[in-house]
Amino acid sequence: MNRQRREDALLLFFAGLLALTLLAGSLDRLTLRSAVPNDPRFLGELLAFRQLLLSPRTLVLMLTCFVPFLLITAYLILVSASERRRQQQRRSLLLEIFLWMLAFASLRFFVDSGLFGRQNGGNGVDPGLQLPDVPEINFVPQVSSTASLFTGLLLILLLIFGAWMLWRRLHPAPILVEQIGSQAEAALEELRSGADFKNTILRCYAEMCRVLNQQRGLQRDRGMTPREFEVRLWEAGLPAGPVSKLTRLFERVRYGANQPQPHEEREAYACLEDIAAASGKLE
Amino acid sequence: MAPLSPLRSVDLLSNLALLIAAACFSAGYIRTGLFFGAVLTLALVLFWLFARQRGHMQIFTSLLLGWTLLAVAGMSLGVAAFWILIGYLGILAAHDLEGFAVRLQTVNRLQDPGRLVATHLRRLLGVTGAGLVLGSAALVAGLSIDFGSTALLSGIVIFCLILGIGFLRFHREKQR
Repeated sequence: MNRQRREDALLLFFAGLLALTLLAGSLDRLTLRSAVPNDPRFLGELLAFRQLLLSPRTLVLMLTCFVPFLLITAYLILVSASERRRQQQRRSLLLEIFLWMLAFASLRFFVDSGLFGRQNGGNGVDPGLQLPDVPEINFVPQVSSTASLFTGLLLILLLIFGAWMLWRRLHPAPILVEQIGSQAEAALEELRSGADFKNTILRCYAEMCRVLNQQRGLQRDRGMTPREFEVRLWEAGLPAGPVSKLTRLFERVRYGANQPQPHEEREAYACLEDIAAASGKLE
Repeated sequence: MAPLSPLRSVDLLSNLALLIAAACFSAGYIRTGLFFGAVLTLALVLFWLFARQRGHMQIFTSLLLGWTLLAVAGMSLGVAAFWILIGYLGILAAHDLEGFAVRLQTVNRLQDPGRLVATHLRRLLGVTGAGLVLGSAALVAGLSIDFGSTALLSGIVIFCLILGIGFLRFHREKQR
């Protein structure tokens, strides 16, 4: 991690810890009151707002906002050449539909739960109605504690989901060669720390298969030999020499009965270093 | 006297952390007059030792949940927060050291285990110290803020911790 990114991450982390400390120090003194105001004028405005939310015009507006996103995503799926990109766009389409349904359901939930006034009292309210003369209003909150708890949990989940999406957007998955290089470096680290050599090679090879499948949609069929897979690795931009040597080593470890010899261990070590260096990650 | 092996020293420190946790929880509950809390603490310690004998990390994690519930119950029942804080930090350290010991045992060859253990212990000490300072600050502070500020702080906590930890883990994985 470079210095700037490390500092950014640490800054975020410490800001979170500070906020958590403040939150922990204040929760025992927090007093919760009803979220529904007692001001009659404000109640009138809320009832008018509720009418607006329930109106067909609002529904049409929501649809108008949603349909272009839907059409654009569908168009992108149709014209996209890459299978991986099509998969991502299909996921985006599902997410858009889910979010729209969630938004609509939340709106209905809030309106129906009575947060914006009583269900039967909203019709025929004149927004300009003068209500300051009403001396006292005996208002009973309509939202049950279960509904409040559910809404709070929903909001927290939405926040977590939003943070996760933001993180994914800020940090897209590294490109194939970088990921393969990372796996090679992880395997190297294991070798240095004395892990079982045979398992390390097998794991590194399996990770490469997985990454290729994820990033390029290339599935290593049961019938595909290591040699055929080697060609795929060349196509991915990895250096031919080390990849070939590593493939031979994998074949010997995977299909041979003997334990790897010391010189093979050194050879594999050098191959892994070369693969990692090819991705520009090994100093 | 021969020097302790790195694994043995981790085991000893783990036992010490468990002992501190058990002593603090028991003391806190007994001083409040809640003797059943001390009994529950003793039961959790016995389960912990049993889990160590079996070497299952999943059991330790389940037991950590039990300790958490004991801490929450203690706070609700009026046990002094100081005992709960120290005890909980102890059990977190013990949990971390148990996991570290299991990982040490599973690695066949290590070039310099002493240095690895020393680095891990330094980090653990730093995290535990920070936890003690921040936890004490939260207990002593006694701030009064309104609901909006509480909601805002909650949002900041969720965003900053998820993004911060995510960044650190992501880049550490890439560095490996």
